Amino acid sequence: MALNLKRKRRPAPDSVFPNKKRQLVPPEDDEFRSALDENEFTHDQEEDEDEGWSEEDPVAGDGMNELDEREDGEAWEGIGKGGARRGLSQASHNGATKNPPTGQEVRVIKQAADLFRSSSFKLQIDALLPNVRPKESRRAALDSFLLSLHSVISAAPSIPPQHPLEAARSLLSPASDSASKRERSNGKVKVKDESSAPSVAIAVPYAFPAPPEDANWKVSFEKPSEITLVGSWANKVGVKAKDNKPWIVDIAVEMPSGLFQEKDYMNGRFFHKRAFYLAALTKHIVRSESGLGVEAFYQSHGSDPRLTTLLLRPTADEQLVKSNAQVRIIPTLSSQSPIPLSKLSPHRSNFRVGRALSSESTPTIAIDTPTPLYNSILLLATTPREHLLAVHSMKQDFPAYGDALALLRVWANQRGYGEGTAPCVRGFDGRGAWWNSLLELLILGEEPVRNAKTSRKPLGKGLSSYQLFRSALDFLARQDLANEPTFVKSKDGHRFSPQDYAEYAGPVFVDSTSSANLLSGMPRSSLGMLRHDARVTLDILNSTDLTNDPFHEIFLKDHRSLATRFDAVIRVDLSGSKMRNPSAHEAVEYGSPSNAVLASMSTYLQRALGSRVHAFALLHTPPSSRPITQAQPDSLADIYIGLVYDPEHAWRLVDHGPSASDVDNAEVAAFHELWGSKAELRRFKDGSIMESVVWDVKNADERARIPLLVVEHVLAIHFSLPRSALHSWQAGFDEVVRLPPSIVSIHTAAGHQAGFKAAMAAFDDLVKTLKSLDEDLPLSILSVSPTSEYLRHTSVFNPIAMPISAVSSFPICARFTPIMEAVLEFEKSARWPDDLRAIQKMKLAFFERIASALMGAVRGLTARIAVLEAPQDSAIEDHACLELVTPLGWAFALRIWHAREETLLTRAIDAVAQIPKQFQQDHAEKFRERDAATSALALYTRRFIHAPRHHRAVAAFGYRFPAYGGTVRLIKRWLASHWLLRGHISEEAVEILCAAVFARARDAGGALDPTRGAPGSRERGFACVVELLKDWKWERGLFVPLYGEDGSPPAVTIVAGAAGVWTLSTEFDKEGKMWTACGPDIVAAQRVRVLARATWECMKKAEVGALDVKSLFVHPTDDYDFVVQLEQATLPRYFQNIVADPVVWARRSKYANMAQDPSEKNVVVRPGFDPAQMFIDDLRVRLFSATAIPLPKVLEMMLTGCQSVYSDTLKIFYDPLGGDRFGAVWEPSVRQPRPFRVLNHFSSAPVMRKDGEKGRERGVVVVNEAAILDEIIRLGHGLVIV
Amino acid sequence: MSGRASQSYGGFSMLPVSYRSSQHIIYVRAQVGASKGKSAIAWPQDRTLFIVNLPPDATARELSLLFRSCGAIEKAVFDSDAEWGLGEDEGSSDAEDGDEQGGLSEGEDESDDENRRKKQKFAKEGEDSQPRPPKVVSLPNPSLRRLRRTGHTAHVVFLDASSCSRALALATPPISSSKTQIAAPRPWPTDIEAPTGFAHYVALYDSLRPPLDTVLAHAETSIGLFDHEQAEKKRALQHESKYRKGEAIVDEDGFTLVTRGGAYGKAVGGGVGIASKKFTLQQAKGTRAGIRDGSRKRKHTESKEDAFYAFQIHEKKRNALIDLKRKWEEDKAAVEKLKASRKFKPY
Repeated sequence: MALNLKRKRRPAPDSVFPNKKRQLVPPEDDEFRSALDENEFTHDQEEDEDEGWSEEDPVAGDGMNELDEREDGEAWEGIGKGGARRGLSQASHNGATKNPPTGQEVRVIKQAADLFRSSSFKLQIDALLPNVRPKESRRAALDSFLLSLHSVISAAPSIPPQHPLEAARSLLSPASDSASKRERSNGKVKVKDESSAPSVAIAVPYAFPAPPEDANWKVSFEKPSEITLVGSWANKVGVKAKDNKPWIVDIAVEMPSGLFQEKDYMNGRFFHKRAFYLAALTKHIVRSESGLGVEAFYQSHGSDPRLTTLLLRPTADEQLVKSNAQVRIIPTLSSQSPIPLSKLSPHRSNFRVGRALSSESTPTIAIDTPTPLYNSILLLATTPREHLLAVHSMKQDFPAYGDALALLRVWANQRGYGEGTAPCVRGFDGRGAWWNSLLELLILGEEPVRNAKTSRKPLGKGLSSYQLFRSALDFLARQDLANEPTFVKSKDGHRFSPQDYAEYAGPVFVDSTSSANLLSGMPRSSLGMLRHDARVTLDILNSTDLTNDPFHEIFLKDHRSLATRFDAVIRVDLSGSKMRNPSAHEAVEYGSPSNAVLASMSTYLQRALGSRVHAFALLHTPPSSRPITQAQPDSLADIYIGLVYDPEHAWRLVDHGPSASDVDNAEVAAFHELWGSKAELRRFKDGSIMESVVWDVKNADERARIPLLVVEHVLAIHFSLPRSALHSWQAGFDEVVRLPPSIVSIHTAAGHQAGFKAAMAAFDDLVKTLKSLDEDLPLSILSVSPTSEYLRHTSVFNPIAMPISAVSSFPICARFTPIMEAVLEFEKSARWPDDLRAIQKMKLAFFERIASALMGAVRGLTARIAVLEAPQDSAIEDHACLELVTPLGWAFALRIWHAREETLLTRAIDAVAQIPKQFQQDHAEKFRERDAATSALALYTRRFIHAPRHHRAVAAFGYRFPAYGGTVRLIKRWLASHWLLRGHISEEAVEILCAAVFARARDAGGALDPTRGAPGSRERGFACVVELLKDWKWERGLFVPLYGEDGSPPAVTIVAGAAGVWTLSTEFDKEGKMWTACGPDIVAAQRVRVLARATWECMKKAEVGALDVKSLFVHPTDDYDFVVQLEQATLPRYFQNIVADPVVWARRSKYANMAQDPSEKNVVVRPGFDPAQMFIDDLRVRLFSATAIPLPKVLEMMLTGCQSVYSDTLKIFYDPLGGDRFGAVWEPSVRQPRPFRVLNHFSSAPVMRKDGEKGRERGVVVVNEAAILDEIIRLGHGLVIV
Repeated sequence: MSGRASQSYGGFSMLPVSYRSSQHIIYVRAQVGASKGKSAIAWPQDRTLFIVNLPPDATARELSLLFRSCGAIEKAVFDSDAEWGLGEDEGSSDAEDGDEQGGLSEGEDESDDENRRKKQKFAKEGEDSQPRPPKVVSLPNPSLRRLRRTGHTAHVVFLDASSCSRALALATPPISSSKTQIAAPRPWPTDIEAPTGFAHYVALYDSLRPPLDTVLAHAETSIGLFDHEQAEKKRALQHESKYRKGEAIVDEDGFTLVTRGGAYGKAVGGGVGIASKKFTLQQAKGTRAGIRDGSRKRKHTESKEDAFYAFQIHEKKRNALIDLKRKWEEDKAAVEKLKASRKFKPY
């Protein structure tokens, strides 16, 4: 130990203060010196000892000597690499960092901090990278495999020229082989078994259209002129693929130039020859007797048969199988081939459709339509080698290139721009070269094509991987790749000038080798999606909030889940798709008719959706490999269309087209072509006459679905896909927050007002009326602040007005009228009594005055004073409110806020602070008062300070994020239907929680910005919150900037045994316990997590199959000890039940002529009356009775114990939204026999001992379950079904 | 009563009552406790029964029905109420009529009633010349059941000691070692006047919304009483103290006049603190120079903390570097920890 100390101390003065002046040393330093000397002394002793036992134990001794040697070395050399390393290891070893770091360390640390986002970010990157790279240990086995493969390929026999179709036939069924020997086992061809039987059927993957019978050219095979290891494996820049997809080792086999003729670039002849070459090579490999031990497959990127490659999966060698690597063989074109590459310029037409497809061609197609895609795919056959060299030199010159590329690929893979088993964004499979040249572009800069100013400048060499990655994101976010052609700076100009690309409509990205357009065939929508994702990520990186580590979010989290990524997802069954105007030219250009369908789908959708979406994407699972007996790739069965809404325009009712005054007929025609019969000429208010499309919607739910309607419409008219072929789950979500239609129809028939807008208007009316009462009131009203969820768009159901006269026409189980609460504030006055009890009485007097004034002013308004909670609560608490029912049927409850109460309550609490302990007994009364005041103050703070403020913030939040309200409603419904809302989780807590997923959307300045990746639909919001709940570690708390201000996350203090375990803090509630003080407790919080996980899994399954949304809201009741069924017909809220049965309220209309029950002739209106809820509240802890302030023990007992009957015995779960059952679990502790106590706080029965058992001193009791159940039945008489 | 059993259940006997389909166990014991003092007066030892584990919805009437065969009950007090000073006499069903309350029903505002009672006492004992306090019109309160926490306790005082012992005889002490059945359960009586379940909640809802004029009368009389009390207090204070405490002086416009004269540096009415005379004098004299002096001094001391000696500068730099390194190490340790939990496998 002393040795360690010594080594730690010694380099310090030497390295950092080499020029220390002795004469200035103050006394403290003397101490330091002496300490040093002391250490030196002990060290010397140690050393002697070391020598002593090194003789006995040579190994240990050697180690010690080595250490000593190193130490000596350092004493002389000062700072060395070893020193730095050792310093670090020491520090981590000892856990102490008392000595200053060496220069080397300082350099490393500074570098990490300067070149990376933060030092911990760098460390995390360092930790991440090895996990996405291939293991070096696996390389050896692969290398030997590649060597043998090389020799096998080089030994391939040549095949003389043949007619293409004949050649294909002979490959498929070799005549020479007897049929008996042929064997196909699911397409997998076992080479080992058949080394003696070379009879393998191999299909030639001829591209579309297949070679004609009258072809006057021949295909043949020669052994490759060159075999090269290319791609990421060769350059060691490979990155692990998602979902454990194999590592791909690319091998380029150069087809000898002799096989080609000059005209082969025309009409797909090159691709046919290439296909035959590949098939012949396949045949050779598969039947070769070398015993390679591989399975062979075909693979076509983007389902394009022209890009077919051969995939070899080793099966024999265990080492190889373990390394999860596959070899891909890519036939390439040599640069010396007779095919003139200059003919492949994008503006040239190299496929004469008319001639090639004479049988089915339509004469209208122009013969010389350019075929840019075809050309560039042909060019791709020349690139692999060039790319290999380019990447190699990049790697050489820029040390961070490899790491940056890995980061970029990991980022992209996590977002589905790559391959995997989950749906991925279309167009990104097999685009490895493009990612490489993306970085190349950043490093080399952009070719100044348009004007030199706008083009990108090259970056410096000293950039770190993180900086390079970041600038790549920056590029992706800024550059409109979909529309602006991009050219990497090349050494000696590009092969084809930018003008050549001018006519090509697709995205253009040409790399430095100027070989080909690397983005050819990429749907523009995919690039738009990429841009959107880059922007969102960049915002996260830009956020100045350093407390939240974004590393996990950026690199480690899987973002591919459709539900949380897209505002709307539509699954399209493509099997019936048919283009309206099938064009042979497009089919040829895109490689196959189905690819052409997808390409034009993307274009049409882009045009139709326009600014409604930020981005959208076509997604599908990238085509997997196919057996070599299958020539063409599988056509896609399903694709997903994911939309990311732009909240500003998404729900626009009218799509405007060109104006009628426009003479440009082409534009009008295009508009009509896009929209079909839906396009109409309309005259608008401002006098303009325009082509337009109008979407008819009846309500807000339908309006939210407009973008889906657009997609449906486009797919229907252009691809004849009926609605039944499209699946989305939005409609299912609408249903769960809607009242049953039979009830709604009664309301609409009677013309009752409904909806949030109407409710707010009613509230505004009330406020106006109240303010006009000034004359009748002693004090004028300063403000009326609403505090109800019905007035901030977050209640599960739309508020509906229920006029008093109409109540009797509703069945009992549909009579519930929600009461909307508000807080009245009067002008300040000193006339209020300065006593808490008297203030409450004063409020009653005020209420009476307002009530009579209002009833005088408004006809038909009823007002009642509700003295709530009084019997149990102390008289100093605010306990009364004024209940109003407006003539239209809206119900409000007003409370009076008197600010003086706070002072008086605080004074009452402080009054006992000075009382010394020994006198406390004498002041019991004062302490009791203090306790009452504490609870009253908590209620006051919540009701009058926090609730109005919370309401304002939530309402503002809802205006900023249109999907927020809907999300809250869905989540509330979800929690309610799982029996957790209100009883365990307060409505306000849900609102804050939901805001968390929206508040992530911030612009660079840190202000909330709805366009930055916030959910744009409530379904996505729902999925995001479920995801949050699934992963949220509530032990750590959550900070939600609900008020749009900056703040730091709270320091969470975990109070053992606290009623609420969630910490949801906002700017105004730093403690984060205002709405979660009393729940959820640990049991409920765990339950939320479990439910969220189950729901998440369920939604994930929905990605592949149909989702029954209701199933997410059906509560499993297996876990409860008992479930009590309530009488549905007596519950005023039953109609809100998630599975409400209309029979319950239809029952009474058995006799059509009997209007109503005689007993119900004079119905008493009871707004807000919910006996079931009152019953449940009586049985369990009331949610808001505890406070954020740590309570004195006695008070806590009073608050949580006094009011509820079974708070210590049972945990009760109930759906407040019309639940007709409630479940309960016994507290585990009461089921254990325990000694009898007077204050056991549960109903107990003695445990009878068995005869033989030895009696203990104290009687033992256990909870009397049967009696408690009977009690519940008695207490709920009339509500509970026995 | 077997000695052993009484030991094992703290002296309680068991009184089973039968429910619909089960048995509920009530534990009873004769009151034991302080032989003198407050509690002894409240609970006379020989005729008080201490009951544990009552049904949560038990009412006093139900208790008296349960013990009807034993004798009349003077009062029944539920301890959970008494503990918090609430409705001490809510349940005294039998003895209620004779009370001085004059038939006023209780409930909503017990504390107010308490005040009033105290007031009344005070008024009776004190001089008769003073104005009588106004009577508070209380809010209507039908006899609704109050649900209490399960397993709560009550004291039942019988009219005479023999009833109490009869009641105790109903219950049997548990014989722990034998299997013999405890006494036959008595049915739990139901108070028909106090509804349960749905009817209870309907009644509760309606009772909480009294007619407007009642509320007004209640509010006005309550405030009248408050005013009366205030006046009383003020008078008493003026009577005994030279300080003019009591109510603040409010002028016509509703402004409070802050004037010296309250106790201990407070204004009259006690609401606002008032500066001491010394401070006011100082202000008047204008000892600003001194204040400025002080601030300069403070500034000086601040600068002193800066590095002056070279070693201090070194020390500072060194500490900064050490801090840097410490942070680095912390980050590293955190990342190592994450690494150990396989956090860095992205997929």
